[in-house]
This record gives sequence, C-alpha cells and structure tokens, in this order.
Amino acid sequence: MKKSGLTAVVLSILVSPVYAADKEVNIYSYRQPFLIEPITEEFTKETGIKVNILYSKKGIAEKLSREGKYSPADVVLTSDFNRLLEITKKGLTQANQDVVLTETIPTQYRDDNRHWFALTTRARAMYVSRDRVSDQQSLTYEQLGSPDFKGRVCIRSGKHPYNISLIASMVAHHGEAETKAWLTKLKGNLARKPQGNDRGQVKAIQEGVCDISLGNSYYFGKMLNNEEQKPWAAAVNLVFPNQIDRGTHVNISGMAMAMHAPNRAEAEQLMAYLSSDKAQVLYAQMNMEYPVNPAVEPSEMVKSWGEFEADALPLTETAKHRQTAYRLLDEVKFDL
Amino acid sequence: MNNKKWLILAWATSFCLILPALFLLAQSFAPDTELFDHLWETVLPDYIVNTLQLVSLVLIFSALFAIPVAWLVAMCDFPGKRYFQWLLMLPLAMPAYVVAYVYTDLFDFAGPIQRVLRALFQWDVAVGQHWFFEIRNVPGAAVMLALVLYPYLYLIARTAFLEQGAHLLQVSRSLGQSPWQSFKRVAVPLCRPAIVVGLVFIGAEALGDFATVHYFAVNTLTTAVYDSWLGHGSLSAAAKISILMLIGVMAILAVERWQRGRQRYYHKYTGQTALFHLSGWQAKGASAYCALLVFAGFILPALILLSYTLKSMSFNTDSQLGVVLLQTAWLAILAAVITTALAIIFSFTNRISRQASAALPSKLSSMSYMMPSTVLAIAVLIPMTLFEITLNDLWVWLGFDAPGLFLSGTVFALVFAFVVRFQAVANGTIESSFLAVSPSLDMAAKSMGKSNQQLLFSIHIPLIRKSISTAVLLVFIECMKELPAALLLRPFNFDTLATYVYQYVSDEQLEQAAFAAILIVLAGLYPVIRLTQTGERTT
Amino acid sequence: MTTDSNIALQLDHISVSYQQKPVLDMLSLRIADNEIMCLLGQSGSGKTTALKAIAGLLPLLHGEIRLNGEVLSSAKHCVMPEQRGISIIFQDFALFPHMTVLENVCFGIKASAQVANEKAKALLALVKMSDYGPVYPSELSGGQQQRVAIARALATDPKVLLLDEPFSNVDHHLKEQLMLDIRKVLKQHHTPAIFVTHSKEEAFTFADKLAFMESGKVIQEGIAESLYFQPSSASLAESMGEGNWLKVEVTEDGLTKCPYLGTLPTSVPNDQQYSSTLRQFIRPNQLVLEANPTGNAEVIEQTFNGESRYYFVRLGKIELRVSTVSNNVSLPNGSLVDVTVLSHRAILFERT
Repeated sequence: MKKSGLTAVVLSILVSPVYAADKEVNIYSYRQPFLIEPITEEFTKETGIKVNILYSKKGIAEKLSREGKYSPADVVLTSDFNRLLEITKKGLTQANQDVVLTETIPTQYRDDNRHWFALTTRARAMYVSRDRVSDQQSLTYEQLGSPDFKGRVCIRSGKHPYNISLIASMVAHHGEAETKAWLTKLKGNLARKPQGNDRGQVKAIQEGVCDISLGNSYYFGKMLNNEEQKPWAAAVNLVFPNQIDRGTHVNISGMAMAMHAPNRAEAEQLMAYLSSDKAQVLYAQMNMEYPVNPAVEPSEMVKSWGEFEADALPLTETAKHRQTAYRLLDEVKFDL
Repeated sequence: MNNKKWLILAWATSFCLILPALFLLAQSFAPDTELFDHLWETVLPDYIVNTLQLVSLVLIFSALFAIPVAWLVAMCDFPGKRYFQWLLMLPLAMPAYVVAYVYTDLFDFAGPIQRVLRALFQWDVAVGQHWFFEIRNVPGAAVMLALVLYPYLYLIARTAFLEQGAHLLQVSRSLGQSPWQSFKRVAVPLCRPAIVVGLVFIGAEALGDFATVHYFAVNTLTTAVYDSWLGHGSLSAAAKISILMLIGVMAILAVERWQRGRQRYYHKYTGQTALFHLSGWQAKGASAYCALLVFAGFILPALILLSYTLKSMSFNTDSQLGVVLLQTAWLAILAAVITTALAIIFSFTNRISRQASAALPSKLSSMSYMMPSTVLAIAVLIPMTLFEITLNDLWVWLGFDAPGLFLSGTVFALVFAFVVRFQAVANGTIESSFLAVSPSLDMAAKSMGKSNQQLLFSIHIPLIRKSISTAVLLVFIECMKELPAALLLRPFNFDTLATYVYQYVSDEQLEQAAFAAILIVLAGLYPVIRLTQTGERTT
Repeated sequence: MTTDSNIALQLDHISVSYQQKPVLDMLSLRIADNEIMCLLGQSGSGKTTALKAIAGLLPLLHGEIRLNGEVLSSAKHCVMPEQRGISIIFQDFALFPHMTVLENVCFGIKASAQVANEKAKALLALVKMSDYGPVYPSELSGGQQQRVAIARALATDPKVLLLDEPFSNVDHHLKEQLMLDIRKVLKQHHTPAIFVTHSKEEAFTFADKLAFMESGKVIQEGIAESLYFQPSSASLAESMGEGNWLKVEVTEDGLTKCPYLGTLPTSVPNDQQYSSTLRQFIRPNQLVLEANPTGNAEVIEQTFNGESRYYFVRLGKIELRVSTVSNNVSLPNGSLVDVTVLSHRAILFERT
C-alpha cells in the first residue's frame, strides 16, 4: 500500500545515525553561531575534531533535561551567567577537572565545583548622548530613576537576560523594595516602550528619541566596525556607570560540560581550547569582549574605551535574585 | 482492507497526532500554581487584554482586506481582475516577521517616511517631543499579521462566493436590492461558514505568532508562555496558559456555532456567475484597493528585501544557503505529502464507515492547529523523548548499544511537529472535495466488486486530484515559513530557511539575511501561484 | 384580443447575444395585463435569454423593451434590475438559506417590520404556506419552496412576474395542484407573468397564451388550441405531441390523398394549390382502428398508458402511431385492422 512504502522510505532516511564515524564534539549554544564559528573552525583546523553547533535563543536547558542521559550535548555555551548557573543547578552539567582550566581562568570566574567556567566578561555600560548629558563620568544605574532623566531613557525589554542580571544585582545591593521603586521610576522615565535590542537604543539616541541607554560594552565596537551603524556610535559616549561607588555590573559568557557528554575527551579538549590564549585572543579581537584569561589583553579598541572598576559582587550572589527580578518586572509591568 | 482495518489505521494515526496535545494537557495539571498565581496577579490580565485586542484587530483587518476583494474578484469585472486573482495570494509567501521588520524600518523614527514628513512639515525633533505614530504596538502588529494572513480568507471567501451561484443575487436584485445591498444582505451572510473557517485559521495563526509580536514589543499570552517556560522554567505554567488559549478559541467557536443555530448555508446553486461590470470610479476604486493590498503585502516588502540584498551583498553565504534551502524544501515536501496522505485516510475512512464516530479521527487531528507553535514544540518533545528514552533503556537492558535520540535528535521531530501542526489544513481541503464526490460512485464500484483499496485509488483519488495538489501546496508553504517549532526542534547543524533568517532578524540585522528571506519568499511563490491556478480551474 | 391600451409588456425586435454568440434575433412579443404568457421551446431556443433580458440582466443589441409604455431596455440604455419592479422565479427556487420562510418573504418589502410581517403572512396564506413562517428553506420540499418563492416574488408588488422553468424540480403529482394554485394567486393579484418551459403539459395548464420559440425568434403566438391544431411550423407541430408524417398530394377538390389511406377527409377545405410535394401531420388520436381479418394493416406493438392505449401499426410500407381511449379490450399484437382517418383540419407542410 502506498502508505507503508512511504513510511519505510521516510523512516530509513530520517533515522540517521546520531554518531558519526569521525571524532566530533557537540555544542548546545545560547550564543549565535556566527559569533563562535570562527573560533570553533580554528579548533577543528588544529585538532581535526568536527564541531556541531545547535543554536537556540531559548530553551536549551529544557531540551537538555528532556533528553536526559541520551542527550548528545557535550558542551553548553551561554551568553550570560544566569543561564550557566541554571543548567548547573538543574544537574545538567558535570565537573571538568582539567588542570589547564585553573591556569587560564581566574578563580572568581569559575565554579568551585568545576562545573561552570566563564570565557569572557562584558560590562553593562551606558550609552550616553555626547552633547546632551552632563556629568557623564559620575553616572549611576540608580540615576536612571531620577526625575532629571524623565523621557530621556531608552532600554530593551526588561526580561532580556542582560537586564535581568542587572536588576538582580540591584536587588542584591539595595533589596527588593528599593529596586521595585527604582524600576517604577525608570519605567516612568522611558522615552518609549521597551523594544528592540541594545544597538537599537543607540540608534534611538542618535535620532534624538532619547539621551541615554543601557547596553553591553562590546556593541560599541561592533557598531564602529559597521558602515551603517558607525553614525550611531559616533553620537554617543561609552560610559561605565557606578565608578563612584561599587563599580559597573558585569556579566559573563561561559561554558559547561554537559552531564551525559558522549564525547568527553573531545569536550575537554574544546573547553581547554576556548580558554586558551589563541581562542581568547579571537574573542577579544572579534567580539570585543574582555577575555578572562589573564594572559590575554583586550583588543586595542576596547582598551581605548578606558579601564573601569567592575562590581565585585560575586555572580553567584546576583544569580540568587534572578527570580525576584522577573517577579518585580511583572509587578511593575515594565514591558507593557 | 476492510472497513474495520481502515478505522483502526485512522484512529491509530490520529492518536499519534493528538499525543502532544494530550501530554500538554497532562502537564498542565502538574502542580505549579505559584507561578501561575503570580502571573495572574501581575501581568496575565494585561497579556490577555493584549491578546484579545491583537487577535480581534487581526480578524477585523483580515476581513476588511479579504472579503471585499474576494467578492470583487469573484463577482465583478474590472481592469486587471484577471491578474489580481492570483496576485492577491502573493502575501502568503511572505513570512510575517519579515514584513514586520520591513515596515518598522520604513516607519521608524529614522525611517524614510518619518524623515520625509519631518522635512516637509518642519516638525520639532527635540527629544521627547516626537509624537508621530508608533508602529510598534498592538494595532501595528495586527496590521502586519493581517497583511500576510488575509490571503487565507480571500481564497476561502472567493470560492464561497463563486459557489453561491448567480440566482440568489439575481433574485435579490429583482426584489429591489442594489448590488451593494445584495452583497450585504445575501452574499456575505451566506459566506458565513467559510468566513468563520478562514477567520479561525487566521486567529490561530495570530494567537501563536511569536516572532512578529516580539519584534513589535507587544506582550501577549504567547509571551507569557515563553516567559513561563523559558524564563521561569515552569513547563506546567506554560502548559496551563496554553490550555487557556485553546479553551478561549474553542469557546469562541462554540458561541459562533450556537449563534448560527439551525440556519443552513450550503446549497449548491446552479447558474453561471453573471459578472457585474464595473466602470468609472467604481472600477478604478476596485483596482486600486486590490493593488494596494498586493503592494503592501508583497511588492513593497519584496523590493525592500531586494534592496537589502544589494546593499549588503552578502552572497558569500551562498553555498550554505543552498544546503539550507534544499533541506527546508525537502522537509516541507515530506510533511506536505504525509499530511495529505493522512487526510485522505481520514476522509476515506469516514466515508466508508457507517459509524458516526468515524468522523472523529479527522476532527481530533485537526485540533492541534490551534496550538501556538512554541507550545506545540514543547508538546511534541514530551512524548517523543519519553518514548525514546524508554526505548533506549530497553535496548540497553537487552544488551545492545543505545541507539541514541533517534527521534528528537533527527529531523523526525521537525516533520512530526509540522504534520501535527498543519494536519488541519490538509484535512479541510481534502474533506470538502471528498464531499463533492457522489456517493453513487461508491455504490456503483462496490456493486462491480471493487475492494475498498481499488475504490480509493482508482476512483476517489483521480477525482480529488486538484484538492490533493492544493493540500500539498498549502502545507508546503506553511512549513517553509514555520519558525518557532523549527527553532526548538531542529537537530544539529540543521537550519531551516526560517531559522536562518530569524537569527538575523532577532538581532535587527535582517540585511545580512535578506537574500535568505527572499529565498523563503520565492520558495513559497511557485506553490502560491499554482494554488490560484488550480483554484481557478475547480471553480 | 390584446389592444394597445392593455399591453403590459412589449418586446420590439430585440436582439441579444450571450458570450459573443447571437441568441435572440429580432424577437417581438406582447403580453397583456393580467395575462400569463408561456415561452415554449427546446433548449437553446433562447427562452431563458429572453427572460433575462426582460429582467435587465442582459443588455440589448437592438430593439426595445417597454413596460406599461415606459422603456426599460434599449440598445443605448438599460434600467437597473432593482429598479424595474420585475420579480423572477428560478427552477432551483433560490430561497435564501440563511433566512426563515417569513424572512425570505419579507426580504424585498420596503416598509416597517410590522407592516412587512403582516403582508408576508397574508401572502403565505395565499400560497397555502401559513404554518411555515419560522421554518428554514432546507427543511421544505421542492413544491413548498416554490410556493414560498412565489410569495416572496409577489411581496414587492411586481409589475411583471418572470418564471424560469419553475416546475421542473417539483414532484410530478404535486405539479398540477401547484400550477393551479399559483395561477389563481396571479389572477387575484392581476399580475401578468411570463413563464418559460419546455414541457407542453405545463404550458397548457398554466398559461393563457403560448409563444413558441425557435432560434431566437417567436415562431407562433396564440392560445394553446391554435398552436396545437394549427401549428405554423413543423417543429412546433412535433413539439405539441407525437404524430405521423404522411406524404400527400392535394387534389383539385382541396382534399389530400396519400397511398394506403386514400383520400383523407378534412373539416376545412385546403386552400393549397395542387401540389405533389407536401406532407401531412396526423396526430395519433385522429386515427381509428377497427378489427378486420381482411384489413390491410397489422398491429405490431402497443403500450397501455392508463387513459389511452397506443398502437404501432404497419400499413404497407409505413408505420403509424394510433392512440385510442383505453378500455379493457385491446386489439392483440399481430391482428389485422382497418385504419381510418377522422375528419379534421389538415396540417400541411412542404416536404423537406
């Protein structure tokens, strides 16, 4: 019968073997492929190990827990710390005892239990209109709630992981009630509903829609390297907030080994590579992030933005308040 | 195969297709009232209001777009009508998020439109002073969605108008009603069942849309589903909200059914359609309105996509794109063929079985189209991985090597999700054409000793050839554009065109992926045009 | 007799084409007040096209249509259908399925709801459908639907009623009653009507006058009897009923003569010139059979039709159809008979 023939064909083609013959390592990544592919391609060139990347903006933790012990994931790459901690807490990761990692990654950027490791740091900076804002060096996150900035602030969705981290750190420093008040005032200061991405806010500043926005530091470099976006960057200064008190909030991108990694050896190799000088240089040059490897310096351009004090609060502390941050956003109806 | 075996086959396949929905339902009963309560007390009511606003506006706009042009094209003669018949279908090939992106760019503060207007009127550009209309809001999102979704209603309504036959309108006119009054009092009300089908489909699409509303910073129940599952990590809360949405849809359907009451709508009337010959400003208006829809829904976005491609000249991704295109196309064809084959099985089984319950497999399998794609993806994963893990455990226990995730780790998950999601489309198309095949043919065949199989393959299938190709084409287009499920269910190193494009859209860099977006459009274009041709030949 | 003063509808040399093909060719027709006219003819004769032209659904290439003296259609001008005051009934009834019977009838009435309802109810009573007000059309039989359609059509007080094969989809045994009922209603309302059919039985029962159409023209117009007994064309003669064609010659005394039957009696002398190239049309009920063992005709076949008995008889080289009023006795097949012709006004045509 037509149907059974079809089924046979379908099944035979679909059910391809999950494991290929050559050595390979499987990455589940929260970071976009075009950001990490240049680095993994170098890795493949050096080691001959094929790298497979599954990218998803959301849902990887869920996928991992569903797949359980048959998951083909070897390494998970995240673009923020909360995700990293989440998968660790859910028991989706395993320890990587590789000594190399202790040499390349400082203590504050790795898990005591050796589950998660940071690869780069990025500051949650402020993009400030060159001409229209005064006292730029003494700006603080808290000031975004002050009446001076009424109608002058642009921001992306509060629920984006980058902002969640920041709000969580505010809760860690100021407590829930004060943070909620700050969020309310910030919402009132917005020039428009939270929308778009970090670079979109800079575009808005250049157009005169608002004067100040929040965005990750590396976007500055990205904009400067893009013909169309250069004018946006030209209209703003990159400011590291809270230099007058605790320091700028930083976040990390990181990696962890999946709990049931089928290609453990290859995974270790990859993780070692990612923290090694070679890869870290690529991270610094290409993505304009701050490498965690102490032996590697940020790129020239990044250095030109100046040094800054980072908020010393351990990321694990911040992460504790993630749920609270979400809740507060809902209570204040920030995005609506 | 005798009747009973067909029934078993139909039920078995239908059961597989509704498994995701069942598991979702089960999941929603899992305890997690805390999050749900929290959401309910804070943002859920707003989300519900937004969702209701969004969906209602999409429905209203779609009706405003589709019904007049469907009638014009079916019943009137005006300049360009021959071309508009199929041109009006083109927006089907455009993914909604591409259109959304294009229009925000156009109408944004720095976009060309506002710039020109500011220059013209010397408006004040000081910060905080701009008041030009925001496009990134509920009405804006609704217009975007309506622009690409109205063709569904257009197609259905046009067929319905053509099938009304000439006599009803002629009688209406002879009783003193002008063409407009006849349209209002007779043609449109009679179209009601068809309009309802079209609107429910559009409503479900609008309800489940994630990319466009996200881009427009509109928060709907789908936002809540995403948030709950991927933000708060609570699948059961997400499931609860999804069930809420489904109940909402079904409630509206039920109300409509009840309100319709005993009225019968369908009666195939004879008489060729006498065309109203429009002239003067009426004709110009008709052509203009059709042209506007085609321009706004297809031509303008396509031109802008072209300009992006030329600007960024990102042809270096060609080779990879070729692979992605082929992958997506072949997945889409597979899903299209499977859904159509299943639809035939369901309809045929219903036809040959004397039991009233034989209609159920088809109806049940159609219900999943009301599920938003993301929800569907989750719902598909649950039973699938459960099955896989059990099987893997069994294999290992038996002493063999575990085969791994042979379902969810391969394209099987994607195809399965596509089939579950779009089965309704195939069902509707095939069902209605089966109804048009006279039962006396069956009786004649049976009396000549033909088996069920012979009846199906040598009589029915040739007769419903056109709707088979319609069903395949429709599902194909849908699969090419489908995004949320593809994002979550695809295996390693596998991109569909939609996920490829979305990478860039979500980063507000559609320019880089404009070429890929054009490919999506082109891939959908040929089926759309074929669709209108087959539609014409059947009517 | 129609005089100029009571002409309701007048078609003057109208020509109409449909999809670039000429259908009506200089057709002329007059319908008087309170008259029911039937357009009779085979399919393709143009009857429905004529109706559509009168309704304003098709434009004229030539000629004029006047209603009560006012021009409705001409080659240059066409009044919109909704402004003509002409209602139309179709063979598929065309009741609006989404409205109840009462709503259907009220549809065209331009008055307050209350007034409309009362008028509708009165009309429904006239067509004997009073009890069906809240019912939907799909729940009615064909005959019932047509009654409702009539009520709906009359609700707008039309000046003319057009009916396009209105009885084709009605059960046979209900047809006659329906026709008589509707006739009565139309006469009560003094509404002239034109109805189109290919069935002569319907034409005879329902219409006052018949107009036989062929190839877009009216071949003959008049009361049923004159078309039946004095058809002016061979095709009209045949369409009025089966018959026998005989090759005849006209004698000097004005009688017709044919082989085997000899000289045929005629009630009216034929005014034909002496000619040997004619054929005569004799209806089956104008022939009589008598059993005769030495007769020159043989009964070949017969059928029993209830009211009549139909015989096929061979006479020499020709075969004749004969119909007789039936009784319990019949002439068996194979028996020999004599065939005689009853005196009647001869129907004569040229031999083709």
